[in-house]
Amino acid sequence: MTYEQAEAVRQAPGQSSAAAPGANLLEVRDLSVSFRLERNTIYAVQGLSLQVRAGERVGVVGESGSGKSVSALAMMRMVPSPGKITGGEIVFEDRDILRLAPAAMRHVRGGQIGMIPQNPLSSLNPVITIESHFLEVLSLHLGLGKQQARERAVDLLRSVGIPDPAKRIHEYPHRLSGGQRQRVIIALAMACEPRLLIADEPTTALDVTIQAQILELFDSLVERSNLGAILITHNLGIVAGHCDRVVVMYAGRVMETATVFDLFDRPSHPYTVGLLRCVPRLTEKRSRVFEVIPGLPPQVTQISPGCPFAPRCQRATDRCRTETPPLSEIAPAHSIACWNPVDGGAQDATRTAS
Amino acid sequence: MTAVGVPAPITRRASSSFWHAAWYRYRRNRLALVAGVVAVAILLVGLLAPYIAPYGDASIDLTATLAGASAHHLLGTDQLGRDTLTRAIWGARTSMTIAIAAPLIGVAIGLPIGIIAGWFGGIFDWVTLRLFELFQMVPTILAALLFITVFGVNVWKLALFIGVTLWVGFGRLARAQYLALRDRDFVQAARAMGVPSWRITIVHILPNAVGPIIVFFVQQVPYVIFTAAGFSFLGLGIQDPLADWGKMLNDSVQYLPIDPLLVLVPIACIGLACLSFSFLGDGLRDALDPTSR
Repeated sequence: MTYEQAEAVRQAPGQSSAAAPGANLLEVRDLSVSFRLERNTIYAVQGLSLQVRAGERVGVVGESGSGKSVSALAMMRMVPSPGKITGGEIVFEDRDILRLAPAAMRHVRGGQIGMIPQNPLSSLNPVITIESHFLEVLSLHLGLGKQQARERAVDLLRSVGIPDPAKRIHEYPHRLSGGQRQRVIIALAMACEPRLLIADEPTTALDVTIQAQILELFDSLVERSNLGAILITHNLGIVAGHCDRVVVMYAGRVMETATVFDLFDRPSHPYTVGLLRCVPRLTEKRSRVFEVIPGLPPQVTQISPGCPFAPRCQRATDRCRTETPPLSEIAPAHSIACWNPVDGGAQDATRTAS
Repeated sequence: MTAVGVPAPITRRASSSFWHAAWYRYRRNRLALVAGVVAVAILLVGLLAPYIAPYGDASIDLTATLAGASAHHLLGTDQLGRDTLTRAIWGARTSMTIAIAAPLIGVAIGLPIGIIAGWFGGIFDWVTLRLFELFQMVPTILAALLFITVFGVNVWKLALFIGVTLWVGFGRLARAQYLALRDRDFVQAARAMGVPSWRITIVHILPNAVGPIIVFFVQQVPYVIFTAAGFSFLGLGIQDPLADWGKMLNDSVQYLPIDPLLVLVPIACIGLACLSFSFLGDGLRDALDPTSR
């Protein structure tokens, strides 16, 4: 699909022109988020940098507590109190989101950046009809009247595959199934023609067959509207199938970033290698005992020198424990933060590391 | 979109589903059903007092003082020859006015304060909590006494004085509801859609919190009826010539040996009103807020 075609599909009223093809739609530079608690401070995100181009799907993977959800919330400037964005910038369509006035920020949320929350079952207001959800958002961001908004909502619901949308729109959320609710939420996120879609584990609450359908929908929307998309997940299978680039996070830091192909073919950070080894493969011997990365991800309560993964890393050296490795490029579009990277293909890496 | 006009019946059916379910739960509770009928009847009697009372509310018949029950005066007359039935009916009007107005005043003050505390949290919450404590420290009777001495009393002032003491309860309830709902996923989702805070608090959260608030409202009614009657009984509430159950009791206690009806009628009225509203409140709680049981 060409750029012109994508524009034609969008047919947005009063939409600012998109960034030039290839340019970064979103650029996060050195983002830090910390939670100041009574006893201590949790440094949830430390120096996160990532770029998203139009039409590109960027996967953010990491264990629970690695800071992926907090990063997503930071991009919407919705970090829950007592969390605070303590540094960095988030440039979206040439504007630093962190410097926007609250009213302008509200317009960005939902209007220019759409968010698909984690739990579709509880993310729709139980006492409001599906229609009201759409009317509110469409009148807020596009200024549509009731009749126009209603028609557009029906179209949107049809485009995400809700059967009989003209009738279903009058239902309350509890009358829809989980998968349908997630479709409604996706339609809502897409309602105002956002340029960027952030999906925070959009399928964890759904069963596997529905997961596949929702992710297909996600892919087709990204392609059709030439969106930039961030897909947060802990499922490497989803990353392999539905992302173009991957950012691996650990303890609030980026460990490795690469294209999907490179990451699965030539993982270089020991943490990435470890993650990949936890995934069972169809081709291997059935008797294999699943490998795990020993230990738990840390809760970062102090910024200490050294690689955060060092305590769990089999390849850690003294330098790893005393000096923080910077994120540096080892190949085009492939960066890692490691002093002692694994080289060679994944299969080799698995063997040599064990 | 096919035919116009199709969605209308669907809307009606869907939009009432919550109230349908609530009505179903309420209906199964016999006691609440009866209490509801009685409560509505008392409200209607109060509303229609001028049309259904056999005599004027302040008409005196000095030829028939303390006359006892008869065909003319079904429940007898008091020491000034006023018809007891008439006084009881007009008393319902006074009582119901206060019983509804006082909690309304409580809601009007408590709800916004509770919402601000629960939604914004932080310093707002701290200040509000201290305010709650401050107001709860002051005994109701003493405060009302002070108000009455300073500002005098009539039906509306009495409703206001009692209502002011009720706001803390509504405030606490609203705060708790908003605290619980504030972090719910759908509220976060609304924020992520760029919905402004004021709209979230009113359009998204309030309808979710309204059940417990209605229940609490109705549960306050018997308390208000009792308190208002209590003040009137003590001579601090409703004054002559207005009819009020509490005052009827006060006036007639000394005539108990002559005509027990004079005392029994207002007692029955107060008791019936309090009981019916408290069972109605319990029924509503089970119906509207099934999780609170």
